[in-house]
Amino acid sequence: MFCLKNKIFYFLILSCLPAKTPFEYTIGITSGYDNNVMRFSSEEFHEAAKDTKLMGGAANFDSFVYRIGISGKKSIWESGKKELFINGMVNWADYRHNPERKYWSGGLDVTYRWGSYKNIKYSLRHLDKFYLRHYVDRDVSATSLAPCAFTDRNNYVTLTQKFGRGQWVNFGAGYLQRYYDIPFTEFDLDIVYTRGKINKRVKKVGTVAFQFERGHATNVTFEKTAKASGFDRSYETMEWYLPVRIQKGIPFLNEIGVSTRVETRVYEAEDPDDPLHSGRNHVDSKYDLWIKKNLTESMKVTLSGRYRTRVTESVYDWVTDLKSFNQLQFWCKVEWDLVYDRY
Amino acid sequence: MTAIKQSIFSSLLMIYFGGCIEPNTEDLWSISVEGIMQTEGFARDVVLNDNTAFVAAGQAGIQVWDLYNFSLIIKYENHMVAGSIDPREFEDLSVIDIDPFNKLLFLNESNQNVGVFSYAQIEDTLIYFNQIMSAGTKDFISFSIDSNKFIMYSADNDDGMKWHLYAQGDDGFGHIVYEPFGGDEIYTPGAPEGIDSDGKDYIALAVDQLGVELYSIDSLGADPALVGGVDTEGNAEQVTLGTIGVYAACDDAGAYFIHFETFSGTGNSTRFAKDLTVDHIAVNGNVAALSIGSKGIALYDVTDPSSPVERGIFDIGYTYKSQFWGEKLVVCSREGLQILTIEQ
Repeated sequence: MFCLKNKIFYFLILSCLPAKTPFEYTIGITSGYDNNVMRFSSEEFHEAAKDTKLMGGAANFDSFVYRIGISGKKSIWESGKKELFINGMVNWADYRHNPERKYWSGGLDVTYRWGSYKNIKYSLRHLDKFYLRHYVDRDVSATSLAPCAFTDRNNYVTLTQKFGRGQWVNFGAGYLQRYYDIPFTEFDLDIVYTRGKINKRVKKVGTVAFQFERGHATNVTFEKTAKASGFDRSYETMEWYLPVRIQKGIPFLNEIGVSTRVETRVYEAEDPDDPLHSGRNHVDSKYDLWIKKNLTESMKVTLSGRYRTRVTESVYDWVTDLKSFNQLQFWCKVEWDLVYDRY
Repeated sequence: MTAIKQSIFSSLLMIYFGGCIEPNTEDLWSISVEGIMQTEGFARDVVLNDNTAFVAAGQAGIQVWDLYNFSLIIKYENHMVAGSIDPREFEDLSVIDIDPFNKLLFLNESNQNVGVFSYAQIEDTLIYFNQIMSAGTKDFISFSIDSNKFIMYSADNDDGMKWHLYAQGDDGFGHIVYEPFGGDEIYTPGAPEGIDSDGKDYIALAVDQLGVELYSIDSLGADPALVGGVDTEGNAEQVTLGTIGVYAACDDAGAYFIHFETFSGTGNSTRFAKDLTVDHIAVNGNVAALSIGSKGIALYDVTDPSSPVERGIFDIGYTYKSQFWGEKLVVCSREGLQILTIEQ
């Protein structure tokens, strides 16, 4: 039924698009490397070395990754400065050294613009069956492992408004459904969040921005399945994000960027019988660096790297050790911009 | 203007069809705890008679509960022994059975004889008759056969499978006793731990490391004949007769369903709940409730007993045994006697 709904949905959308404006699209190919696909902590590296079942059939902790994607933009209505347009994107990713981590993601944006940096955008994002790792299915077993994957469906609305010279702000709110595949539905979350972002164009340098996000995740299946749903996985989350893009005055390259993203998550559980979540919080930090070069007018290449570290705090040392991890990723993305304009 | 209308229409359709997703639903069952009867001691065993539960409550003795009202009818913390002035306290009751026809109560303290009591007169102290069977009795099951007569089959850890018919008599001092007037014992190389019988066709015996033995009977009181034995992984501790086979609780090795034909060498057996510590199995229709000690209970769909399907582990405290009371499950646990409703 879900597939049928999707087919009807896409058919109706496509059939309603007018064919008077060009269709701009971009094909992207990415290859990369992830040194800790399953986000193992140091303790878990040691455990997995002794018991390879924890790795769910993977032979390596790390993996090479390739990703192909296509994105497009179609303007469907224009009148002076006013415009209504749709963006869409679909990606397929395959972790070559992890048999479970293969997924597609995609999304659509519908944007109504009434001036420069003045628009309202509805965004829909889908991440399909993103594999995390194997976990014990405690609803039915004490030891048997099963692959744990989730699907995200994210709806959010963003309002963009220019203020001052070279400055603009984004305000938005979203509703993210993170629903896990069977047999881990006890992890299901409904996450509502608000987000604000200030952007500033720095003359002869580039752009700098600061984003703040606040959200609440409700564990919708708390006490709804069997034993495993006895733990409340609801949490409060706060995140700040600071990207800096240097686009002017740099030799050879077209852009150099750095960013920091720090999420603080505090679990709500206070049950003393749930040491894994009770009183637990973590700080998840992501540090990104990227460089971009336009090879031709329509082709560009981006090299990027990310260092991620999650530090967990709990009154129980074993929880701290279990849930803290480090991760390093590198990516090389080649994009080719194309236009279909035979109207 | 037509274009903008189309676009708005498309956008609304997109949000409607693609906006949200439905969560996946696991094919698990759920339980609700209707009530917990505080038995003071650990509820180790229970036998049901209509809406009344007779509970072997460990060091708290025997308790009789009204299951409808969750109310304690009476508790017996001690019993009068013939010729004694002071009542004797129970040490640690672990197995209980009743003969409702003769109003008899059978009690076993771990690895001891079976005591016979009368509950015909509901008073603070049970009327004690005498001890039957022998030391080393791990489990037993009884059936009334006539007024003041019953038959009992027991799993004797030392001697094998015992069965005796008992009739009311006199010990020569004016005290009522129940005396054996028939029966025997069948030696088994294993160490019997648990026993079950349907009282007409079969007796199943859990014989620890040697698995499960099945005996056939022509009728109550007839000599049991060994059909065969089936070895299991781990230690077979408890058995439960089903309509087409035997369920065996094998402690750390999980559980088995063994077809009757398997005991004569033609059928097969199925091992399930392999990674659970199974102490007892209760079966009602398509539901098997496994008592799994500190992890609570595990429910299995045994519509096809050859391939039980797991339906969830439910953490309700440390459990020892369970019995079905109609569609509800009465669970013996350290928290007391719990009544659960299972929603499939």
